[in-house]
Amino acid sequence: MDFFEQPTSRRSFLRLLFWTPIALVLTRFWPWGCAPSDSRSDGLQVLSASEARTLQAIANLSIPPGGPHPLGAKDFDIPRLSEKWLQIWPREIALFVKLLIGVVEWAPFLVIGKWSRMTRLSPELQDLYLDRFSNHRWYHLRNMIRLPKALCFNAFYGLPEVKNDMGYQLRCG
Amino acid sequence: MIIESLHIQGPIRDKADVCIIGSGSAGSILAYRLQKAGMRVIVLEEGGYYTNKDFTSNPTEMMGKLYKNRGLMMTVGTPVIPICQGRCVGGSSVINTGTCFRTPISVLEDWEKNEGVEGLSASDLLPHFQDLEQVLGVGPVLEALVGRNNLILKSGLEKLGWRGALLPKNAPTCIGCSRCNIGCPINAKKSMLITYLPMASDLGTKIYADCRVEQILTQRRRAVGVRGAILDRATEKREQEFEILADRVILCAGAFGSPMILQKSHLANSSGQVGKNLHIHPAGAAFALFPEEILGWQGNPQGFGIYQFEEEGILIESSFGPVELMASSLPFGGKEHKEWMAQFKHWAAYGALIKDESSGSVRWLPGWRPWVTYHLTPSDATRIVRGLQYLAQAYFASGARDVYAAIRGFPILHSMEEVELAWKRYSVNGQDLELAAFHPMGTCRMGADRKRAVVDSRCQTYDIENLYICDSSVLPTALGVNPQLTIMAVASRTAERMIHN
Repeated sequence: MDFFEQPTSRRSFLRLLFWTPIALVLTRFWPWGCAPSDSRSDGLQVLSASEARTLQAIANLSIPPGGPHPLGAKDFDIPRLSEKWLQIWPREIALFVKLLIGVVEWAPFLVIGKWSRMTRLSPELQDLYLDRFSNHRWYHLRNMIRLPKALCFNAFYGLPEVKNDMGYQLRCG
Repeated sequence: MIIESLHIQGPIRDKADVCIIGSGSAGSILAYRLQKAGMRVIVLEEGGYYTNKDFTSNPTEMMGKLYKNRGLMMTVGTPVIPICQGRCVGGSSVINTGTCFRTPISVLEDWEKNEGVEGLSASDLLPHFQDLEQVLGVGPVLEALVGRNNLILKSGLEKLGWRGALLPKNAPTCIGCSRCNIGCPINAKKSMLITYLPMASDLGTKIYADCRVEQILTQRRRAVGVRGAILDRATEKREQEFEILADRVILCAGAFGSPMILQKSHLANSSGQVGKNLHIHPAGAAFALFPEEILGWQGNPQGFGIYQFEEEGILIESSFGPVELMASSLPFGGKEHKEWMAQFKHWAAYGALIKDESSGSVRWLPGWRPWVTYHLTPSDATRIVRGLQYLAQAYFASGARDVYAAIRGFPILHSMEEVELAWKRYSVNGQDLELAAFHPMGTCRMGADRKRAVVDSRCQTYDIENLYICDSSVLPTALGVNPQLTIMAVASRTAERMIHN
């Protein structure tokens, strides 16, 4: 099916526009959600502890240890590193990212039919979940994982240790 | 004289002959030319003032300082496309790679024939191009310094019989440290920050940084000045207000800024075209792994182009960014991603940009964030995919081991034969494409028909006599090449016509 010939794409986007604020409210105000009332991780300014856990889980799955370069996301505090972006971005964009992280945390029932938060799934199921999420047939849903993932990659590959390990260095002169 | 928010204690009231909104490629040249002609010019820039001493190799920090929306701006539509624009004194010229193409003659002829644009023919613009190229030192980067990523396809192109060459740059003293996109630390790139703005400033132009114009003031269908807010650079919060009275107002705030200011001021939109007709030159990327080390981060990040497919509206250019950003551009994760990143030394990275027929729109949103919509048409999606196919062929002809075209679900290719097979099996779907865009244009387009255009051939708005728009937003169609030099030439020509008037 060619999405250009179907109005479904635009309709699904509008649907997304309708449901995301509701999801935001739910994830932020449910007592077990990604709410600011959660005790924050030490020193984190933008992310709640729950959001930090989700982001770290996404990072761990996206950047596993091993291979020619042994370092993995597990070796670093990715949420803390990601915060430098979240702090410089305009507030509404940082809020949007928090919303996306919340959606990733709460969407296993949508993607793999499990009524659980992402961080409470087993590692195998987390892996399956992230894979299916990233390749979901619904374009706007699979797009939602892109930004949190990009944040993780950015944080990890921006580390001097990782750059040194890869032999990467921007030099001038 | 550059005045920053930290130097400003109270509200500003000032007067000038010409008030220019935006200090990018167009605004700087207009400021210099008009000031030189004896006019008192004030330039207002929303972004901050940074010099090469402030430029670090940290992309996060520099994107936060130099980019609009701190580097995170996306189009809404299918597919979602990240889009970049500068927001600092010097505008996008500070953060682009410095590629300087003259406007293709076919594009200028198209403007003249189909849009009724007058006075912007190849012969009209020629002296402006020559003059600009001389001041900016435009020429190809030295082959010895250009880096392997920019030379790796040369042998392949010879085998295939395709045309390609080193790109013309405004960086005559470039030493290839690959930091063009986050501010040139050695001032090798002749951005507006170190050329026309200081030249204008030396003649007496006042340049206000951190000043966001929020309204154009009018009286009896004439612009009389502008009003806006002086922003705190770190938080972007309003600190003070300013009001500049001027005989002429020139909007040079770019394809997003100019229509937003007009929309907020409810001006110059009798055609209903303000904010419409957005073109962005969407670009798809393909990465290759070579058996030998490429070290793509050494050398110019964008130094080589393949011109063979110009007639199809496809331009292939090398494009290598900081590792953090390159890592994010691979759409897969996990072990596969790690394996690719482990071979980062062997990466070559190129992109295929198209002269887009698709169009989008820009709308003002509270908080002065643009709401940008853009939908890729099937024919444009097909052309991008075709561009990536050509690129894959060029990679294999040059000896690549593996090629990955940034199309979701597309297999990693290992040989030339697989290129043909994979593309035969693939049916184009725009949603699968991982795109980026760097050249927004066309949102206040120029033309002879006032029902279809916002400004006339002299960049004067149809609705307000002394209100001009001169930046990428007036370009009536997409160019198919990097637009920097075209924007400058149009600005230079506009200044010439203003002075003669």
